[in-house]
Amino acid sequence: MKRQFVFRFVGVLSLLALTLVLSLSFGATDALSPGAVVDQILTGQGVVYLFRLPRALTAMMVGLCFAISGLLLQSLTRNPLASPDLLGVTAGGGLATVIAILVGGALAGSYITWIAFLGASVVAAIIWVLGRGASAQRFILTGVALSALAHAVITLLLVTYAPSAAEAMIWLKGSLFGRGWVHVKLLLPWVGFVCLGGVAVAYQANPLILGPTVATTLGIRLSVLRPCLWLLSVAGAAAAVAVSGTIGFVGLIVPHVARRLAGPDLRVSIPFSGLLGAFFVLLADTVGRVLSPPLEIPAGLICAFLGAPYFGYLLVKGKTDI
Amino acid sequence: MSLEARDLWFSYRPGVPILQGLSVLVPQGKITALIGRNGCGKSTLLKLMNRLLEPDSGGVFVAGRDLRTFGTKELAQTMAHLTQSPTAPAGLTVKELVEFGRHPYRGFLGRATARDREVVEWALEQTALVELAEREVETLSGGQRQRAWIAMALAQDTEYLLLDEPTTYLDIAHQLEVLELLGQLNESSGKTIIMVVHDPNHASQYAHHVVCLAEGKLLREGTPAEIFTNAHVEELFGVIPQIFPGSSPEKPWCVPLRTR
Repeated sequence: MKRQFVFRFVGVLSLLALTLVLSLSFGATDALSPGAVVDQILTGQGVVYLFRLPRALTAMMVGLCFAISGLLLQSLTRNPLASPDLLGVTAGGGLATVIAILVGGALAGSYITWIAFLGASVVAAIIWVLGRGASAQRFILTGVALSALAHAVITLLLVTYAPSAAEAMIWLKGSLFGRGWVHVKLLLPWVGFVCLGGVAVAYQANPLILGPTVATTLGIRLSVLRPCLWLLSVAGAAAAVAVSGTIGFVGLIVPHVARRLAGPDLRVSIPFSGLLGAFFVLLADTVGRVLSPPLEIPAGLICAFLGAPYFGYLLVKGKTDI
Repeated sequence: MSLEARDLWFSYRPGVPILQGLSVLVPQGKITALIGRNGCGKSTLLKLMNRLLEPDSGGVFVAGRDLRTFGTKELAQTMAHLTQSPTAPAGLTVKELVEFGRHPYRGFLGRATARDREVVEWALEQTALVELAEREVETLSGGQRQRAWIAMALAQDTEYLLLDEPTTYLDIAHQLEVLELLGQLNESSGKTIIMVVHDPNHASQYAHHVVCLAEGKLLREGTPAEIFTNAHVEELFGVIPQIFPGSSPEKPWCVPLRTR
């Protein structure tokens, strides 16, 4: 890795660490000193260990999953606008969850993560079957169409079942409220899968930026690589959606920033994207918690508020490959 | 090693064959030009030769071995293929592009060996791109860009170099620059070069062997002197040409005067 990347990597890592400290110190109750934070973590007691630490870890893992998922999708489709949101993977998770909450009510609560995961996977499978073997454009269009369909059905359900829609609405906005150690345990294997898988495919997927034909002439077996990339990105997005709901923008913007910081080599940009995603969602959640307690602003909203101006900035600077 | 296409049949849509029983033996260590009208199947033949397409029947053989039995990396170490007007993404430098040529030689995680670095340097030298190595491909002129792609193909260190219309979109000076480069590479390293070209003079001046395709079949093949005669050019392209002997009788000039 070139020296400039090492500096930047350390920079991102420091930002993440700083945000983590802030996230653990501040909350609905009084701010805690760093000593008290460490003390609570070590003794396994208090608000930090029971609530803030698992929530922060969940936020980081969700961000990492969305960001790496988006980067792999953008590499797979060779399109900088591809993301789990655009392709309908998160909408699939959202639709399944809304149905479960509206139909099952309280019963759905404990199964919600698995239901969301299932919904995202089903939509992903449909996109793969319909768009398989076709051009990247057709693949994306299939996803966009399914995403729109899923959103339409979600809206229809929410309007029809208005009284019980509030809970589903909160979930759809993407929030980390009340996430605890159980969610950390649930996410951990998927984070491992996405990270290790990402490292494993990174080098093989690099030639895709030159287009599928050139990649083939360089000895890349697309029939193996493409399903691997799709599987990894869907697994990441589905796991993240299952735990946090549909936090948008992360899978779109973070890979974009990562590529600008780390260059086109996926072996460098995947770790960057993961760390930046973790930082972004953790920051969004922390800001949402401390802005106007006891009211919480969902992390998904903060992400959108922070994300949209970034594109404005890109447009103004004229520095974009979109 | 020899490269041979035997009785190739191919169609994009069922019932509309593009290639109809085509057989070609590519001469070793020479430059071969594939010429013919639009849609005659020359680009398709090039893609079949590099297994970018699978024939309906017949096959392509390297040293008598069916291309279908090659591993993907093995094939990429045997043949490099410069596709028609490829595009590099923004931000990619010349050196990064050329390093992609070493992809088929690297392991799972892509650690570069001393040999990899050596070949990349050599490829940059051959294409006179050493000075431009850190420039972004996007910022280069058309001719330099095409040289960068050729450098990537060279870094693949293959016996065969396949090029699909390597001079498209280039001005005449850059066209000649690319063709002269191919001539030098063939002479210095004995690389077998197969190129699809549109300009008959590019074939007559730079190729040793010319293969003429018409409607998916082999019309004729031979040296430039054999191919570029009034009757043959008229039959192949449907134009009335004037043939000039040029500096050597081996390499006649061909000026298309008008359509028939």
